[in-house]
Amino acid sequence: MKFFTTELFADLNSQDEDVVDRAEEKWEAAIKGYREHFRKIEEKLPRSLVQFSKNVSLHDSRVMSTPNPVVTLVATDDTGTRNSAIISVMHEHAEFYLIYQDLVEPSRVTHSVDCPRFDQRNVLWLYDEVGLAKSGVFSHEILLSNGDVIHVEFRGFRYTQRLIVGPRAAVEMEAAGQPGLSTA
Amino acid sequence: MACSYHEAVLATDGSGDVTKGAGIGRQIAVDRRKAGNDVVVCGADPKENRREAREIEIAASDTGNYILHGAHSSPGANALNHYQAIAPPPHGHCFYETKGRKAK
Repeated sequence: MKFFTTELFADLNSQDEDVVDRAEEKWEAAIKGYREHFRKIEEKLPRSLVQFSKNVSLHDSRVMSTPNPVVTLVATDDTGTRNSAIISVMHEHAEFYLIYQDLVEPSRVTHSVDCPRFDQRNVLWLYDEVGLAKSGVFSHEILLSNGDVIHVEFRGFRYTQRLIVGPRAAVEMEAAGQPGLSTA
Repeated sequence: MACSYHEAVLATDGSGDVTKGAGIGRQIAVDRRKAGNDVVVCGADPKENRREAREIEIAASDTGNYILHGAHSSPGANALNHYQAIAPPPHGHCFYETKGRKAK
């Protein structure tokens, strides 16, 4: 993470009020910085990744399959062998599957800071950043509530959501402008 | 200047907007948080807002197991900083206004 770092998040939760004051200011600067960063690279990102970043908020959603939430698939066909990775996240009304295609390198999970507020019992999605590693290669980093950060570098991206609600809730979501089932 | 406490509604459209509702007393704010509802602390002094939001969250939790989340980072998001339980219950959030982020 370059903007919403684990260290900054830990400072937000410091017992020292002065540290929290400074961390709040840095957090605001991080939001502005990330939005500017995103604006600069947006045209070079896959449309599906832009759509995901702009329209889907997974904050507070439960990350499945922890402590190893990234499932790597090795697919072989007549054109060769490619690695893909899948992260599944349980949102309020749907389970999201984030599918990273053509991994450039194996995904990683790092843990750089210990903070008493990090919790292993209920691992949630906190903040994420997308990036442009180089032309045609994209990155996605996700800070989790246990203090882990997922790093993925890939060439293609899609996401799918599977509804986990009844028909009435689906109708309400449609009325609110949120498609009940979509893939990008 | 004293804080004010309000019922709060978090937008479901991904914008992160927090709309403040009726003004409520501090104890009612605690009770609403205990019940898993959202509340927002408003006022001109951001530090006081944060302190009050934390105290409400502590009072609403049996274990004092709260965490502060900065506003969400998604492009276009207008969320407010907030306290919430590390491991619910209670569900919901105790939002507070900062210098640059206000409830609608």
